[in-house]
Amino acid sequence: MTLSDAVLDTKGNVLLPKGTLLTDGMLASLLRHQIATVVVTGGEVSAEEDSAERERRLARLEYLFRASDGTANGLPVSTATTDLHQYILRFRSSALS
Amino acid sequence: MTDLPMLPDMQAIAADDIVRQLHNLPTLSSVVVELLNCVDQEDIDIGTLARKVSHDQALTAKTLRFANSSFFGSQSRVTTIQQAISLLGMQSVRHLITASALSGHFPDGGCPGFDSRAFWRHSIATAVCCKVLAMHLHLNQDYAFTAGLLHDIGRLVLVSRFPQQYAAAIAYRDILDCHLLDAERAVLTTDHVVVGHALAVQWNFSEVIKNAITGHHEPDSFGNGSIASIVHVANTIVHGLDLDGVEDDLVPTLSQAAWDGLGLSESDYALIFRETELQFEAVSQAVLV
Repeated sequence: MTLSDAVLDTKGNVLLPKGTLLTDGMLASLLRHQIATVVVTGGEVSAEEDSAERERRLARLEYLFRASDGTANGLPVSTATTDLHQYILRFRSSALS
Repeated sequence: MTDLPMLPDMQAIAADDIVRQLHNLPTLSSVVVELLNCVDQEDIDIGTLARKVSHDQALTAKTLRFANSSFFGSQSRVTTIQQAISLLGMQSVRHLITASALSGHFPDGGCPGFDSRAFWRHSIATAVCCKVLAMHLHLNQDYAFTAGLLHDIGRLVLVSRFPQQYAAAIAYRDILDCHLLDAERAVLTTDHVVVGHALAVQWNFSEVIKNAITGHHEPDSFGNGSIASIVHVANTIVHGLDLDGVEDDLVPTLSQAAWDGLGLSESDYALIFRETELQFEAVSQAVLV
């Protein structure tokens, strides 16, 4: 979803410029500013598109952690990296469900 | 069978060259010198400092934009450096000004492959995550934010003073899909940690910032809950949350000791991830323009 107009706060400061591609973080930030509705372009998101987006994000996470099973940057393999990977995976999954 | 791409030749940077280049860096403005030299002083004359900063329009504009960002949730508009200091805290303002000044101090146009915007996205995201971690650990949030902001400053020295050599390190990383730190060590025979530490010594950074720079990749010798551990964990989280905006980003290995030493639970981290993402959006809108 893309903003069709800039979002301003009560003082006229631009919170998000026109044309911004909205992310989960931005939507949460807008709610914190008590902004419950914005005008977007791009129309409804179908269940298929939603599912594709979920797959894309989880695939991206796997890609980012692609080196976590090997030694790198001077440190031995650690279960800590695996823990972090799993924490972020569950964090993302709960946000997407 | 396809031919493997040619790896760049080693382009070792000698310690003497690093020292010479650090000495050859352009002189910092008097405001920044003063900021760097008083990082550990609690009795700094805020009024005098604010007046000096006010003479530099670019620094003033960036500081006020930051102070007015939704990150700090101020109900009234901040229009002076003095107001910014009372809202953000002296340490945050001091180091934000320093970072703003330094960001304009290292021209990076001559280093192919270096993405300056991604560098600052990463630095700011790490600063925010450090601050959030410090809040959960009941530690000083100002120091943590600043340590995160400056932890990779050695990279800026390498990019601006050794652009061709650093471009070779980036090319090496791209070919092998390895960590940039490992590519630096293989191609340059030094790395941004060593160079960052040398810069921190030359510019009299505080011990906290020196430790963050020196230990952010290998924090184990700095002890449980050290600033080096916090920056190390924050740096890894930021890569994992994909906040750098780099297509081929790679999450570094996390130190088991640093991770265990913070003693946080999965539910703590879920909050930390959420708060980091929310605050990063607000800060990056304010400072990355």
